[in-house]
Amino acid sequence: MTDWLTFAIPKGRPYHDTVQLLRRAGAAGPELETESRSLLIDCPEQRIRFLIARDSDVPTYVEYGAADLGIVGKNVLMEGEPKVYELLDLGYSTCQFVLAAPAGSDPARLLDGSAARRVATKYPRMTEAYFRSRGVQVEIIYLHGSIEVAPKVGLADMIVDITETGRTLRENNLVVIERLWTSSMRLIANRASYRLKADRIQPLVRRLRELTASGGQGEAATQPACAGADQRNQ
Amino acid sequence: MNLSGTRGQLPEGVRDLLPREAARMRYISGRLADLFRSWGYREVITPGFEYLETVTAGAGQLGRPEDLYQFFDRKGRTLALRADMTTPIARIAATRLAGEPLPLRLSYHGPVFRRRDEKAGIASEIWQAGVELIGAAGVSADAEAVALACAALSATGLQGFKVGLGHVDFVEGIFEAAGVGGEQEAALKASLVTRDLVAFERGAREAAPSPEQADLLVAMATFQGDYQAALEEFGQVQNPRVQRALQQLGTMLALLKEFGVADQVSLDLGLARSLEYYTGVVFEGYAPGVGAPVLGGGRYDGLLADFGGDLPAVGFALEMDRLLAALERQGRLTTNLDREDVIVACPPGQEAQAMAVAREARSRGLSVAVDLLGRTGAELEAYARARGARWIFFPDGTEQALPDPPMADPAEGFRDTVRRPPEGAVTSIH
Repeated sequence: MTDWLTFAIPKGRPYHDTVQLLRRAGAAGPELETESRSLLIDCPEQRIRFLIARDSDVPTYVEYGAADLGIVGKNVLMEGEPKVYELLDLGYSTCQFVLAAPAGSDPARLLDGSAARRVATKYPRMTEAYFRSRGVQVEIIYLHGSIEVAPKVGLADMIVDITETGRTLRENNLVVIERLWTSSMRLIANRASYRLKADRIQPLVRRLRELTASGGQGEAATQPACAGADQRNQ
Repeated sequence: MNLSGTRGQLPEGVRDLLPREAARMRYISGRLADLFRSWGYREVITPGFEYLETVTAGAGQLGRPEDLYQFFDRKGRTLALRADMTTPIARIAATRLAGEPLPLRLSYHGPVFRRRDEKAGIASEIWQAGVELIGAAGVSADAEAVALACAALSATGLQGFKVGLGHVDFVEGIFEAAGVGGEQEAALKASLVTRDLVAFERGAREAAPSPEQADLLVAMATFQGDYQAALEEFGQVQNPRVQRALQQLGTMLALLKEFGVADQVSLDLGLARSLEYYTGVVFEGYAPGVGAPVLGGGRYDGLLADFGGDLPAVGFALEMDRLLAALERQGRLTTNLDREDVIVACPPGQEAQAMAVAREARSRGLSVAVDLLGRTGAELEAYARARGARWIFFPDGTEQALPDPPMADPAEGFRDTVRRPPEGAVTSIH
């Protein structure tokens, strides 16, 4: 299997769009579409082994060379800062990082530094970097999920989270104070594989580039699929 | 045993090398030392800490000053653990070895120290081996450094590696040709160093005055191919630095063919290693299965000036931990290097004979350990097997051969440390 590629892709909501894109790029066979609980799927024709992983684990597999390539949300890359190469913006699963607070609160007061504010988030590193760059001191509360509940129960004054449609925020009576960053799915590569397997990786990058540049993912992106966003009630 | 607090634990970022790993490190560094010697490089050993001003000379490579381990001497002067090997060697070359005939060829092996983020397993004490070639400018010196880098990776037994070759002038010249400077240039270079090609392309489209100039930047960042492809892609770029760099790289690749390493080298024109530090050719070595480069180097003609000697220099460092990890993955280190050939039985009352037997066996080049705990029978045999020994020698001159331990890859690796059976009869007493 020396000339095979290992490709880590995230399970969950972006899976469907990812598979559609890879199929159109000729990078994946029908094996990837079959209902399976297997986390390793081989596509012999393409000589690619797919590793189906948690989105936050995808960069880890790629960084350490267990996978040559990966597809993962920019939000995960920004929080983890893994040592991988980011090759392409695949353009789907777009979502916004927002700073949000309960409706009716005064944004200026929340950020004026007059009192120590608490910010709940799943993205502590980026959140800290953001507030440090603004020169605002806050206490960061790290949560694994259900961030939007934190202000309701008095755990935090604000939250930093990702949202696609804003529905979850509205349902929890939160309003966006500031849009921080946009995230979408990215193609990443292991630093050694990028060189050592260039003859296999480069054609794949070119095909994916053509598809994403022409908006080829459009039809697949009809259903919201931002990893981790707007799915709190699941 | 109850070890309270941190006693018995290690701080983050450092680790012990137990006998098996230490033997491997010693073995690999020995192969490298022999190779460097055979290319005329002489080893130097520099202090673990120096004055802060010395350690921070050429600070471009070292990254953030807060990554240094700093402390004070009795007079209150600030000291720092060395954060790379090149800086102390530049100091030596510009001062204590200033009278020696040029070029200076120096090699080293030892740890450097950089504070790292808390990510588990990221080392703060980093073992490196490498060389510096000082006092020779020009393509021949560059080619020697790259060829020796390839030879060094080969000497360790590493398979399937590639050394990517780039040039600072090429990157700088492309930025000039693309009409991008100032803050935008700095931001783009930061993306180039981490190969965030998405941010790079986005930034290039924003910063470049024309779409063609943005395309030029992107072509540089994503280029992969041979020299002919590079000439086709960039041969028409109207910039003297770009053309000079291309010409140098072409001459170098021709020389590397003569060194017999052309197949191990590829052009990586977007390679950006700490651009404010390097001044010419830059290169990085990659091995399968290890995400980070196992080797990095380049030309740094400005560093020695920081120590009052203005000499051109080129060099590289191998990252020993990553190299060992790559070799381990390839099954290149299957044989125990920390074993004895012979255990000498030493029952009570026969110490004198046992020592004589051990001495005689050592004189034949075997590694020999005397069982100081006086074991006999099955207990003795179990101990000898645990130590990986091939034979038990007894004080009366008889020997017992032990079967070979199973090996993962008997054809490869480091069996050469296991000697032939000793001359003379191998008599089993059982």
